[in-house]
Amino acid sequence: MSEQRHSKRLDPMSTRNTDWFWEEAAEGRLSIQKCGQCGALHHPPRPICPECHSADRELTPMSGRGTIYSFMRVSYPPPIGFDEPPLIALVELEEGGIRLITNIVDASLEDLANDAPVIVDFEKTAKGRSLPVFRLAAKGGGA
Amino acid sequence: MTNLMTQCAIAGIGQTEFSTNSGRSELRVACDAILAALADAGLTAKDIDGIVTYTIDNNDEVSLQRALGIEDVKYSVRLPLGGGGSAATIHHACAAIASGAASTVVIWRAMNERSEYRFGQPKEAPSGSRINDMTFTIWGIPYGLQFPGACSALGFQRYMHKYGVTNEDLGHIVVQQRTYASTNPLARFYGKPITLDDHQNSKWIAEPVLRLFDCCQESDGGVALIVTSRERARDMKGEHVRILGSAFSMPGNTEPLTSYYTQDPIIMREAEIVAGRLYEVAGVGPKDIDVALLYDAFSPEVVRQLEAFRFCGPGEAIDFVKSGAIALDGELPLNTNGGLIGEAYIHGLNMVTEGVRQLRGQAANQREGAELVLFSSGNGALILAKD
Ligand SMILES: [Zn+2]
Repeated sequence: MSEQRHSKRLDPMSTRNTDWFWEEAAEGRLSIQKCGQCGALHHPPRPICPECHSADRELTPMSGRGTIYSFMRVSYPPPIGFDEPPLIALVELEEGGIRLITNIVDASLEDLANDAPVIVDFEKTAKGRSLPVFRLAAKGGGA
Repeated sequence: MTNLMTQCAIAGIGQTEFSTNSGRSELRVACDAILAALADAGLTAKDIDGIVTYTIDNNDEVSLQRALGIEDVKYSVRLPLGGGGSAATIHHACAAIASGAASTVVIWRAMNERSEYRFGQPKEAPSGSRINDMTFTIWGIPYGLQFPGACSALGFQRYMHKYGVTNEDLGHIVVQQRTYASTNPLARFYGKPITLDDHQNSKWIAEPVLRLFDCCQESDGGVALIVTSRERARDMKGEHVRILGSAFSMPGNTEPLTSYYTQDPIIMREAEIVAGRLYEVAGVGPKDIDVALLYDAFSPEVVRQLEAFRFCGPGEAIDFVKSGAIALDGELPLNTNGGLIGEAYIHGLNMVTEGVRQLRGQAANQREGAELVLFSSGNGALILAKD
């Protein structure tokens, strides 16, 4: 667990289809919905599998490794919950076909590059919920 | 057999002033815009039997009907997708008319998004049940992805990486649109052109993609349109324009501004599909279009639609713009009212009024001899023609 820099972070909105994602994060796991019938991975989560319509879903831990698909620093209007403009990225997981909206932490905008390898970490919101975030693998982040 | 979807017309257009504070309720703004459209067509509220809008508008259908005194609504639909659905309202009005479900449909958008709630600012939580399901509200808010401009920028950064495009490149689109707005008396930015330096000196919204001047500005105001059959339109007072064709698409896994989960988020897949259907039903191609009106809540969306509608090839939009193509004397005058960036952000419907004015020969920035105008809002598009 990284040092708590963004203690003002907002909680994710709670829904009955998505709360498990953040509960997994609280246990230190980045998990993605996998269909219990056909094995397809899906993100964002949904109540049934769009391929076979099974409601049987397994929460499958990912390796936590991926690459930066796209990135930016959002500075104005200032996003709520941050002291400094956050680095927001789409990260593609190495398991394939899954992208996550996330933050790259412990980095500056100049450090970021498309396709740079990243590794998952976790940060807490102001109210204590856990969020998966990522750090640059090359910067010595470990998991 | 004639395709009845190509036999409809816009018989009247109406709008309020576009401002930072309308000084009246959103329902009143809607009524004012609709009354102006009815007057343009020479109709009264009693002639209306269909009412259509799209999500994010706060006006309730029953309240609007009660205020206007519409006797009997036979057809009403509120389309999904927010502004992405704006062009699709016309497609659905045509479907209602072609099927006989309604004869005269009013379409409206009326909001006080600047004075009452700052539509484009960061949000802690979504408001309104329909918005709750959107990707950025659930997955973006805790990460700081909290407003539409940032959503547009995040996907587009990959396009910039792939094709070597910079924010300054986007500035060429904005400068042209602000030039158009500067000579359009209806525009928020009337009399206020900008230079590329001004664009580059405006503050970063999302570096390295988007600056303030790449963004539309929240606006109070309303727009209304009257859609009916060509046959009935011929007997009405206003100079109608034909809806030569229209199309709609919601491809799986896409979403306005946040299509992050598709195979190739760089392209605007919904617009590519819409373009194919639209050109086929209208029987024309991109080279035939005299004026293009492309939904430009943010400048990257212009790039994506220029390519989706095949006005240029993949990755070529910036070169196309820099060649002078989108100026009034270019091969494709674009967003000639100033667009949503330069005229006002009325969620797309003010692009339709501009299209009608171009075909009536009444636009502030008139393309000589304009006969075919294309309007796209991504998930929907239409071609308007002189009739
Ligand atoms: Zn399945």
